[in-house]
Amino acid sequence: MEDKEFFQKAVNSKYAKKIGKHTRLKESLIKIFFAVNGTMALIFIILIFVFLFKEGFKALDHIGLLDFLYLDRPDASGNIERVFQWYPTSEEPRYSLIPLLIGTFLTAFPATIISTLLGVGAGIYLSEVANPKFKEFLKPMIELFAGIPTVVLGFIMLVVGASFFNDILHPANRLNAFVASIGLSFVIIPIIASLTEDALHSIPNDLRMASYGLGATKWQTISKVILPAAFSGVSASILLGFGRAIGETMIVLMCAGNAANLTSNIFLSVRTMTATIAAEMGEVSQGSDHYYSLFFIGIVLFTITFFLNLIAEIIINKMRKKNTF
Amino acid sequence: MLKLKNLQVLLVILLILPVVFIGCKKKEAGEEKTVISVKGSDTMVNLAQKWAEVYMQTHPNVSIQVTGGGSGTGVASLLNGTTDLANSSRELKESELETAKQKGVTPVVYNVALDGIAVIVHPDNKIDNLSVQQVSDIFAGKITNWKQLGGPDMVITLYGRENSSGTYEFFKDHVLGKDASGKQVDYSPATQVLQGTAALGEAVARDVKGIGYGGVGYFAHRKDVKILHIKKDDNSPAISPAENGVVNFQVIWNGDYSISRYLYCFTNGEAQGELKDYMDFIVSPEGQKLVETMEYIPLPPKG
Repeated sequence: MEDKEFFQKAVNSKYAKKIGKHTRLKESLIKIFFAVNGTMALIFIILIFVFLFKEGFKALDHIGLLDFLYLDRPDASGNIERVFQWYPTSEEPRYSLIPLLIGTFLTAFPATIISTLLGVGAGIYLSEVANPKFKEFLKPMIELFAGIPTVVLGFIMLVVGASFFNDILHPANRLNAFVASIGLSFVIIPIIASLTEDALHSIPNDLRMASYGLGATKWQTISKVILPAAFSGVSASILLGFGRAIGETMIVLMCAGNAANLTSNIFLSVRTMTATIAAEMGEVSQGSDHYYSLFFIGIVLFTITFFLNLIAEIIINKMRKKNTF
Repeated sequence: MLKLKNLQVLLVILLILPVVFIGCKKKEAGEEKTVISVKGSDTMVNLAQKWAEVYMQTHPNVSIQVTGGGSGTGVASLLNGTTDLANSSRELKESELETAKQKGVTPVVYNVALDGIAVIVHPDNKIDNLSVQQVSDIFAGKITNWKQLGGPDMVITLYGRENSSGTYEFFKDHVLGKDASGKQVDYSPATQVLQGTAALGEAVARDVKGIGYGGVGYFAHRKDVKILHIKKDDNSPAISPAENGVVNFQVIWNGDYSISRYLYCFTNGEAQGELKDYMDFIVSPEGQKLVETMEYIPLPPKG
């Protein structure tokens, strides 16, 4: 209200009349410039969306929706065998996304669990335990860590990490889902830590004071008061981290071994959806079924991460409303 | 004050110098350069670069740009008209010929060199020779333990190439072959996919359980991987494509070594002008000498 009155006064004042036509034009041009910038992001997203779905759904002209799940084919003795395999360039192409989905989740789930433990812990430390001066130093450090190019992390895991875990755990494959999920954790821990810290920080101090006033210790305050109060924010940070783990490409391409195994063994090589697109898109001939099926994987990937981000966004918005006392 | 002025002068000189040099360069390269773009097989990219380098030394008016990306990419670019010359480590596929017809492209094939595919294992692996059938069974996932081949009790780790690489296709056709009912045998789903022959060599060198395949040229001189002797069938002698770090040409030319292939260049229509000159250079004794120095296998001597 006050703003409006002030604005009215300003418009009616004698200075306002001095503003020339020229300046008005400039003002409106600037306004348009920023409006275009603002909507640009939206337009690009819609264009990407349209392109992805246009190319991806062409796959369904030649490949049935069920073929993306399994293929029934006769084996050597003539029995019908149900296979879940990704062989897009074979004489008899098989496009099952099941091994790729399993690969994606077999790397993303463990990575999220590891990062939740360490990331939430780091977030609690930053927000509740660390002294403010040290925190001011540590938080930018953690955020800087998130900015390391993933190809560098992937390379480190490939050369150092894989050999290290090979020597102590003796896995069936040197490059496996476990090594990749450790690599992914490096990316997700900073995300979860930073967002958890934000969520905890937004909890009003009155809650802490009340808890201490009732004689609670620091740990009791954190575990019984602060964490429950910030539960939605923390879970949103985990969801965002999980979404990032699913969409991450370079680390899994380098460290997961890229064998489209149908397995639940975390020490075997797996192949994720992102790595499949990255490895095969470069050389696939445009317009082939294989090409469109890669776009279809893109749609699946996009849908998963879209909904994860949407849920996280809804939770965060709810939390913001709740926390404005 | 004087110092500051000196600094300013220096700055101005530094700013002007590059401009002067750029100006000079433009004058030197006054005439238009013919640009030939070459794209395709990753196996051939080193070789193609060497050819281009040597050719450009004697033909300063030609600029040859070589990029890799794989045989499939090279052929696709030729069909799309975005490259003049496609390198390929395999013949054209039926589907590609059809696309070519649709787009009005008539690919002309040149044999430019040969390549042997070596089967490699870790140097600590006791196994020295395998038959083609055994290699096929290993990569198809029928043999899964080194024990089955007379080695120690270790699970075999398979290393292969991405499914659009020419090496992948060639190895699948020539080694995995077809099963009893005439169906193409596929690689085992447990095959780990690596980007490029060099990465594959690295992986096998670090994994005592591993087995992989790739161009002999890449592996002949390497001490951290062992090249296996290959038997055509159980009764034929085991032959290695490389001896003491040197590629054995004779066994590849006469076909004693079973896993070898021709390397090709494709052009759109008969090569003309500078491109024809370049193609002539590639198959000339000078060009073939380069093939040898790059550790591929030159074309067999004529006659």
